Amino acid sequence: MEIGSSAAIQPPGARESTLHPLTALVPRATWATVQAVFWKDWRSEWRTRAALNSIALFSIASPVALSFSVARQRLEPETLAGLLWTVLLFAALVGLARSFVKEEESGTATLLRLSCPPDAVLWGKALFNLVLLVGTQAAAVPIFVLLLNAQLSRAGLLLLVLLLGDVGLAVVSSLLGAIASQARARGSLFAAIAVPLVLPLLVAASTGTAAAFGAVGPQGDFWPALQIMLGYDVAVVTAAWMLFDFVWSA
Amino acid sequence: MVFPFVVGIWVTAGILIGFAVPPIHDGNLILRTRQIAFFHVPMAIAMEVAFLMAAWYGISWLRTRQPRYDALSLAYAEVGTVFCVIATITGAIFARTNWGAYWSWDPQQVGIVTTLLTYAALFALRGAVEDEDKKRNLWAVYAIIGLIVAIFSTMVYRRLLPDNATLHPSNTVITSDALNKFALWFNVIGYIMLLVWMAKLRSRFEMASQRLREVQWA
Amino acid sequence: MLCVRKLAKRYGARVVFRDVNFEVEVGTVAAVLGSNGAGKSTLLKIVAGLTRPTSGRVQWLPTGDAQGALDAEVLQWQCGLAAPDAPVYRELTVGENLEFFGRVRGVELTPDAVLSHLEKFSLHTRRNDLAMDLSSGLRARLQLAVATLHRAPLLLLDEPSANLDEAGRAILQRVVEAQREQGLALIATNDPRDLELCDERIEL
Repeated sequence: MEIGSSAAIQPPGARESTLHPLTALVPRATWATVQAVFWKDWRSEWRTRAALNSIALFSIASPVALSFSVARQRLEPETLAGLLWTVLLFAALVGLARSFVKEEESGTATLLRLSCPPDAVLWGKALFNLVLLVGTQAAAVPIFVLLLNAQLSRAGLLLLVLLLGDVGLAVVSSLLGAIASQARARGSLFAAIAVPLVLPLLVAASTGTAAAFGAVGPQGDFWPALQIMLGYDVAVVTAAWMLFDFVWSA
Repeated sequence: MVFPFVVGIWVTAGILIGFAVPPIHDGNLILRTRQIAFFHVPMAIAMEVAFLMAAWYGISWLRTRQPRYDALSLAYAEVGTVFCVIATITGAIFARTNWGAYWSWDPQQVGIVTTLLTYAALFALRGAVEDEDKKRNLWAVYAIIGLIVAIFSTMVYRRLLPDNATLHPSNTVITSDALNKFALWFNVIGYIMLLVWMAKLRSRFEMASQRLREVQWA
Repeated sequence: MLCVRKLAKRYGARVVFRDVNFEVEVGTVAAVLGSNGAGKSTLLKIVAGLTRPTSGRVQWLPTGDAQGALDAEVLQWQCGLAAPDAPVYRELTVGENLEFFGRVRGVELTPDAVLSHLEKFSLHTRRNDLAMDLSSGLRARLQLAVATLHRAPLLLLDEPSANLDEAGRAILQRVVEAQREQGLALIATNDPRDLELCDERIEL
């Protein structure tokens, strides 16, 4: 919401000196406000570790569980890639709605709406979700590769695919987290509305990851997958930017 | 009030034409139950149109905040869901008779399942929000982003799934002779008109029930 | 001047209020009165732009020569709100809460500024305590501190004295007096002692 500073109310009769400098300011989404939201979320997450624990546990425990059942088999790169992204997706679904759901459940959303520019809320929380994803994957992906004996033939490609996938997941889950947190049955609704929208990303990410795990032939061609992931990221960033205000504000 | 009759006659004629056209060749094969194609393909196209309209009226609602646009968006999504289910079922039957499998995870089928899931999520969302305006806002936002992602999915599945995975012909009916082509487009127009008519009725019903609630309030 | 015209709110079939009209001049403190469920809190939320009214409008009309009325969505940024259902962040300390709400409004508060603001609410000794460790009375003071942080021309207080002790009530009184100098205040209350702070009454 763009509001000119001229819109500030000057109480008639009040002398300039009695006015606090803030009255003349209308909050706008700047890098500083985005950071403020990010650090606020980071601090309270670090003190409670609600989302971090659930994402980390899920994304580390499921490769372990998988390795028990398929330990003696030699899995194709495509299968491994599909398994990895299924694990990462469900780990994300467990924890990423948390930051918005917590605002609504504890009632702090009210003051946040009143004082914070909507775009700062969106990007601050998207950044927080991105850091959460990257942080947990830094632990979970090596464990997955080790336990399931994946041949990491293109490590750089895997990092790129993970990063592109995480950006898309973080932005989509912020927008959809804001939607789900305002409805009943917040947690389960989030999974239901998120899955259809991240399916294309999941398919593209699996294809790219299969190439990173050494798939050959048509499956080894990773450029279309990377292009599609980049396009998806740009599309959801734009859509979230344009639509978030309608989700967040009254 | 002429429109419903036109639609009724048009669609009936479309079905009859489906029986009158010559057989369709897919390679060396002669397609069986080809009449389904004149039902299934237009249904799928109309379903996509419905999705587009639901998102379009979602944008209209967000811009103007006129409840009738929200009612139209809801109506197109509901009728679109019905069309989507019918297209899925008829497609599966057609695939079974001609290629031996109901389901083969080809691009079109993956796409239609994603669309069905998106519709299901839309209705789940609408049922879970209490505040009327909030409900409409969230619905519209999800319909818009759902459409964007659906466009992406089609692109994704076309380019990423291996070519040999698909049994679905993309041009058999269209490139066969002129009569088949005519029958197909005749039906496409028919089912889009059917969609528009049903959605209009549904949105009028929605507006009426809203007005009823307001009368109770006043 | 705050101007409310033909305001109505309903949730589904449940009517909260209908046809609410009032005006409040700058320099005035108005009490919003009404039985439980009359919609006092809802009215404050609508003025703050946090809830959309079913019909009617809230406007800020300039007095004198100033130009142009302000609608609710602009007004939102000129409001300070302290309400029982608008808590601060429990996992942040008292000081971090103030810093955060300053920062999202675009102002970097120095440690001294935070401290001097907290002193007005006798919270400066609890500066590094988590908000969840405060008693409910002290948390109510912290909410007041956040609401007045940016010297809002429009101060909205919902049941402000509910958990306050004598010292807290004295702080509230000073807040309300200071608000007369810089704008106006609406106080939703059922407490007769709060009425002493107010110049006008708005009955719902």
